[in-house]
Amino acid sequence: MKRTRMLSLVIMSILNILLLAGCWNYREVDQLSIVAGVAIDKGIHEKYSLSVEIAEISGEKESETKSKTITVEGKTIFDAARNAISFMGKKLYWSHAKVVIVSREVAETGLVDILDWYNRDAETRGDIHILVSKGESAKEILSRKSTTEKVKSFEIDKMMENQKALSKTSPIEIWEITNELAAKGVGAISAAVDLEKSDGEEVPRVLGTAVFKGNKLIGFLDADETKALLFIRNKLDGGILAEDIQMNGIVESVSLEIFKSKTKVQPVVSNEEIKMKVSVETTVAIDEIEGTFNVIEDEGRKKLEKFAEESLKSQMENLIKKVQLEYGVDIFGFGTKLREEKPKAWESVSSEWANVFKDIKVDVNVKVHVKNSAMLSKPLEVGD
Amino acid sequence: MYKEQITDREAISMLLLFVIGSTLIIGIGGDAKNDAWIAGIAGILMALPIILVYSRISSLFPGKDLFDILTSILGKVFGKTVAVLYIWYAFHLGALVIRNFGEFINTVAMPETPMLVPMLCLGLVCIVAVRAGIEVLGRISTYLVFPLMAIIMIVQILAIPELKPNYIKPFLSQGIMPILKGGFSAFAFPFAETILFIAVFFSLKTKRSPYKVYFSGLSIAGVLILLLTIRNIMVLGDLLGRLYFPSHVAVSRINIGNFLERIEVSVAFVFIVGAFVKTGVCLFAACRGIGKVFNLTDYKPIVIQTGLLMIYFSYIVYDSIMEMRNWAFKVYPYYAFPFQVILPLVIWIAAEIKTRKKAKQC
Amino acid sequence: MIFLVLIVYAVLILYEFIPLYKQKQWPEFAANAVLGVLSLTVAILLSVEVKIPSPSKPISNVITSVFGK
Repeated sequence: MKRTRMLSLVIMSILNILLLAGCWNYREVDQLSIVAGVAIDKGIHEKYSLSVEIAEISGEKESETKSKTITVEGKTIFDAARNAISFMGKKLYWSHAKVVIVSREVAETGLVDILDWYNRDAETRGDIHILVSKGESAKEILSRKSTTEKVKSFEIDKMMENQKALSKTSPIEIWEITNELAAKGVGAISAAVDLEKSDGEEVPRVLGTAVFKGNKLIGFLDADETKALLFIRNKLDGGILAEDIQMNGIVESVSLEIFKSKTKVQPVVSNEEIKMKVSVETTVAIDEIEGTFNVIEDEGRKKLEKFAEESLKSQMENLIKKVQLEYGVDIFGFGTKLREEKPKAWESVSSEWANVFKDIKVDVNVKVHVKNSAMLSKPLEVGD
Repeated sequence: MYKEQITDREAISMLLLFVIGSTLIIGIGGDAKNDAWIAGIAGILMALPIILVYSRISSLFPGKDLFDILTSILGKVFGKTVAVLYIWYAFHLGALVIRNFGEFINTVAMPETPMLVPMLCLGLVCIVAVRAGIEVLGRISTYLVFPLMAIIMIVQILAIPELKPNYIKPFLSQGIMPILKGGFSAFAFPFAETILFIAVFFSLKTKRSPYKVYFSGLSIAGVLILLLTIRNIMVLGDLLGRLYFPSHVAVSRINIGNFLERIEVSVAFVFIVGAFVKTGVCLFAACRGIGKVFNLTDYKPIVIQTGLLMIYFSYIVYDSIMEMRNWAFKVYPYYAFPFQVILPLVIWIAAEIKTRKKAKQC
Repeated sequence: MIFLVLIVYAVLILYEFIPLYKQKQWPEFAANAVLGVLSLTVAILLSVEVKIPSPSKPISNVITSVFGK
């Protein structure tokens, strides 16, 4: 008995030493290259060209983050990602990547290749942002100097995160766009990014929305259209409405900050005809009055609300018309709403939804409610 | 030989962990898409009558396990044949659970590690636990069940911001057939797998206990599985049917203020504990059966060899994860049907007749 | 690999079979021996990477042929 106890003790200790001390494929931080973001272009020699931004953390006394961009080509995305080894010796580590930028050319040929790898591989994560570059090259965007952050990709990620207060592009994460591609009755969109001149230097700016038909890019929406789109999709959390208000023949501008917005899309089916009812309810605050109109008192405020409602309504209607005529893709998710609310009606039109969508009637109702005027209770007065 | 005894509470915790074990990670009703939760309810409803049968069988013969019952009502030869079938079922099921675990670790965390390594780690722990006896397994379950429920609930609450209620609409969009199919698959895996617990409940104290244990364990587990399924649907939407391990991906979406994120390891933890208990119970049932068939006085000496065989078997049972998925949803329900429904019904009817006769004779 | 397997099984024999032998529990010893030989065979086959056919293939073939896909 004593001997078996001793024996088992020895075995246990040996097992513990072997199993607890190490892992099978253990990787130290200095063996990895941490990917911060990636830009995907069409390759010159091969199908894809991957530009990977790598965050390098060098820490002696004070840790410092730097970034470097390298470009590799490959037959597939994963092939290119692994080819990086032959350039720098280290394996790329994808779990901390923040953004994927796809060049216009690649997006026009289709997104599925990229999305599939991103959703399939165990190391990549689905909750990172995807952007489409309006210009020719996606690599350009990552290789620009960054202003606030040390790593450009992290900066772009911040731009997307803080769109909540701007709403001029539609941030979308990989898993979301995958779902939208798969779902029936909704067309996919993604954020767009472009190079713009600022202080004599070209810097990337995220602005507008890329529109997809199937998984192929077919066009872009500008900033105001994006805002209208976000309103309809009920994805709007903030932003500014800059309204021109006309009173007694003079035009002045008022800035309204959006605090809360809720949109309800309701399909109405009557006599085989499908109509969409979009009702928007927005709470805003006056944050800037460029002039001396009294839009704070009852009468002026009513007028302001009316102006804002009208202009929002026309923006949305114009956008819907434009999308119906130019793109013919249901990026508003009307089909999904129909499927969820009225499954029977959806059954009958689902096979030809793209055609039905083109001439579907949409009824837009907007209600703007001004809740305060920030710190000042009156407009400034200009004495003589 | 000294008599092993477990309390009702231990039995309930064991049953609970057994049921949620591998279901948590693989999910139920994949075919029914956004109606998977209705399929779950259907599965629970289908399971209720058969659970009644199981508890009846168990309570008719207090202090006897599945294999004793088989020999005493079906006679020596036929009883032992059926017993061998059940040993095979327990053995196979245990191997499948170990394989699920191996595939999970291999896909999610360590793609380059040979799959045998994580499977050996889990299997060895099970061997140790079963060799120590069913009481130990019961006690571990009671200790683990509360932290586990707490983890599941906390994760559930943290997932609330990610929920998109409109993913669950429209109800019954695919018609009733996928729901029935999904319900049947949920019935076979995991609810009716609890048939193996008849081999464990000889150690319960009273005659009424099996009812209590089966019903409370199953209802808690059912509610948990439903909650998780609804969460997975609302977080993942259309992606649900496409994933091998939906819970893992759903939880990886949780991100509270860029601070509380990447908590998918909690899913792995829950799964490891569940898989451990499930494999333990299967191994226990298999060993006990072998012991009874060969008229051994004690099942403990054969645990190591049976356990090792189980691990090897789990290693060769599938070629790939695709085969595993196909098996779990398409083949397994039919394969397990005789073990889960037909044989128990036969045993139950025979048992009723036998006990009536006995009562008359007295 | 195969040596590792043999060593592990040698330890197992020391740990399991000798106590059973000493206590003269012959049925246990026999059952254990049968299982042990079986598992040793499988372990050796696995360690020399022989492909062992899995029973799930025929089972799934039978079931799909009966119930359809």
